[in-house]
Amino acid sequence: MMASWDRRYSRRQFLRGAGGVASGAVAMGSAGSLLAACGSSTSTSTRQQPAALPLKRDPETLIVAMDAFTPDFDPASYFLLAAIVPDFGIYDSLMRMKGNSATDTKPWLAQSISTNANKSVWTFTLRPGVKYSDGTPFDGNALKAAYTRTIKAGLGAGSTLSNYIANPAKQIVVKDPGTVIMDLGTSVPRFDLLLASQYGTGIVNPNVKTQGKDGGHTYLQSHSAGTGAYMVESVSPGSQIVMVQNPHYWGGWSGRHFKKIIILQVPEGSSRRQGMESGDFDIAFASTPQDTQALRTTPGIFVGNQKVLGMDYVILGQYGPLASPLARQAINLLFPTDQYVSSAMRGTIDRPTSVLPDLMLYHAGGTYTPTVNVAKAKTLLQQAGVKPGTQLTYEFYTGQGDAAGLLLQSQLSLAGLNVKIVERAYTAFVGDISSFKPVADRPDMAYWFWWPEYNSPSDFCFPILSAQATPKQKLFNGGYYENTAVNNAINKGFSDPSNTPLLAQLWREAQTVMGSQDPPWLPLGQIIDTSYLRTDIKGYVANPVYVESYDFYALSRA
Amino acid sequence: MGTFIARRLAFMVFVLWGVTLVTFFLSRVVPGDPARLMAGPQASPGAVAHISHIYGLDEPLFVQYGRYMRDLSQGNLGFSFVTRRNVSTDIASFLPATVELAGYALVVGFVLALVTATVAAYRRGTLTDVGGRLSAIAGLSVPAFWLALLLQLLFHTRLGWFPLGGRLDPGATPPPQITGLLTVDSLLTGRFGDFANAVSHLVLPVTTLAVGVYGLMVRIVRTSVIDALGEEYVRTAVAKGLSRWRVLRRHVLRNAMLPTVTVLGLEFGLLAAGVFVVESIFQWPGLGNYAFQAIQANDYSATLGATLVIAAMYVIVNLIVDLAYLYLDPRIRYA
Repeated sequence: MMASWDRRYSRRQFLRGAGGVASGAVAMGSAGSLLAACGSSTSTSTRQQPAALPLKRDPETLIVAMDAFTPDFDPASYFLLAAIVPDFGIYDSLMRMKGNSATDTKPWLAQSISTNANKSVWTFTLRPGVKYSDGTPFDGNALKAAYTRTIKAGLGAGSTLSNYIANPAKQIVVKDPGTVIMDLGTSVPRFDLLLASQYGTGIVNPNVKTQGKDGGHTYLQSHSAGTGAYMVESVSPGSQIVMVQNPHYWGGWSGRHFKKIIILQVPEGSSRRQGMESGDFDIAFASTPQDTQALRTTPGIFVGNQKVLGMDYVILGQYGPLASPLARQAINLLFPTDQYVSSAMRGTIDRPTSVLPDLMLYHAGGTYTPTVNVAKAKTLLQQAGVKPGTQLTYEFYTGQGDAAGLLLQSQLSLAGLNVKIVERAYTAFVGDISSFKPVADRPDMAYWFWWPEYNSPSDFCFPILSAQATPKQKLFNGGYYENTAVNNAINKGFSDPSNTPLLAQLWREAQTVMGSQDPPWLPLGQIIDTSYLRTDIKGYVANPVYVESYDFYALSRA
Repeated sequence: MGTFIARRLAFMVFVLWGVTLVTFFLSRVVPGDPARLMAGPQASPGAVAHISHIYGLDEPLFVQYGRYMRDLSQGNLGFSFVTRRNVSTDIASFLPATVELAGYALVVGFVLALVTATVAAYRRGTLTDVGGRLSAIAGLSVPAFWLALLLQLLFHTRLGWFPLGGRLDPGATPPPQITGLLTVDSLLTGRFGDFANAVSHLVLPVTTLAVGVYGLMVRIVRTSVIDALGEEYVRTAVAKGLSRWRVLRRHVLRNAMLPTVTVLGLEFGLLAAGVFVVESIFQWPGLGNYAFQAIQANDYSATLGATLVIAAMYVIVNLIVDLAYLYLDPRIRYA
């Protein structure tokens, strides 16, 4: 899936999502630092790192600068990255991702989990003594009511759970207050990954249903009702969200934790950079690649380096001049990915090795190799019947994708193709790639990015590559891509997720097809979480599934 | 006079109705589905349709417009998809922030321009005049976004004299809202610490905006003062032996103010509508930023609400300008 009204990804605007804010870290302290040094983890506050700037404010308050936030504290609806950042500190889920792993989970509000032999029935023993922020006890009935509300509300976020729980009244059984059984009706070996997702799995206090006629949805736009470590104290749209410690938090407050979390809306990337340099912010969303590169060498500031399960890419339309796979192969052979990653993006994205992001289940590295070969590209274009002088359109939205467009324009001219670059406002752009239009009105190429709700190639690929997810269905397969091998892998991933050997084979085949034979995209790079942190912030571990999200409870100041 | 004001206010109703008509239908033809943006990219078409239904986005446009006008007549400006609040609540908090910022910028820029322009006009052709004119050109030429970043870099990051942005320090509790202007409300409630806090946050954004106002107003005022200085009534006043200060205040500036006030009114409207770049850089939760975000997100009600308020401000400020003419030039009569 993919975007608060800035950082570089617009899913942020979606998830801000399209900006991509995402999942659960755990305090790892110096162990995390060691991993960071190995390039596999992101942690701060190491001894080797230069001391942070002197702090001229309350050391027990954490200040986070986002490009934008959406004040939505309803797990049934929050889906934008702009909303997920605060909500990750407010709501707990049954499971969470472990450390910096993309595949390991740990029980969270579930104390333990067990499953039957074919992994279709999952039993959760709930953590005792958990209370919501208003003091209401959390138990099996509360869990069932919360998930039923999320699934039935029809506000968007329920789609994660409803993949396997369409009928919560029947499928979720409260055996006793401390035990809940979920009968998925099909084998789902990694249901734990879904439950660890940030999207739609937060467990809200079911008492909110008494707040207003809309099941508490309006109430939850300015109040919170979770079991998480923090709760909303005040919201000033366009300015700040202030969160304070939940006095009933099951983790307790005996260790070192921040007393208050302030999330500021700082739309300008340069202001976020200056705020980090001056010590005003503890954590900030990334600014431009240039700013990020500069901050990497700034004493007292740590810049994240964790690859996340997201890809930047250029959609190649399976229609018009690029209808032939040969033509799309040629585009891939013309784009200088290495130059783009190192020069235009300053290493803020990683070189792609597959159409799927590294660390994703069934990722097959080496199925895509960025190569520039102008002569071969010309031959392929000729074979595809694309004549020199043909004009292609490339569409991007303001703030994202302009550099890739300019490079495409320059490189495609080597093969005699003209590229018309079209800049659109974000909402218009989203409309263009997710609304049905005649071929003549569609862009031939369009910048986009995506990440999944949880670590699942089917969840990642369905909305953007499935033949059932084109703009005709108002989804994001904007290139109208259709390939039997890819569709088969996606569908099998949903319908037969337990057949691991088969899925491994299908996904390797699908990645090979997409990487070289029938490319749906031009992969630009894998997204890296380049959040900025002061080096005196301890306990930060970036997780590939939880894009730009921070486990506030795990953080403290050295 | 009363008839004149009543007529202008009635005229304002028609202007605002026209604004709703144009803005409503224009915003609807812009591509993009706010329900999709709210639901998220993974949401099923059914969930998107459900959200469209909740917010009445699935109804015919004329039905939606009729409902909007009915609500508007009851003071209900609708619901914002971005802030998740009523637009009237949003405007009540965002408008004062912009009025405070633009108001101080206008006052600071105008006062400095008045002094510079008057001195330059009196010393026309001298180095002082050249200096004044150059400073005006500089004020007009400097892009606000560039100046804002430069001021942040110098006075916040390097020197640490002023805060980076916002209206108050992060986490600070604002004074009880009376006018919404933090400097005024903090004084009215005796919270002098908040007053100092608010003033320190105003310095950089006000300076950024005031530079542009200064540049424009120096040119207008200087020209007007030079024109007035050439008038016979000024020579007569000087010949009668009136003091230089009295001539300046009673005869020169008062007459020079007519074109100046006209431009000042327009400038306030422009500031209120075009301040979003500065608000964005200084994280100022104002109406410009609000409108900008609303437009970006196809947030129909918020876009309409902000446009209506800005249009109303234009009309009201221009009414005030017209009334100011009566004071500045008693010969003017409005039928």
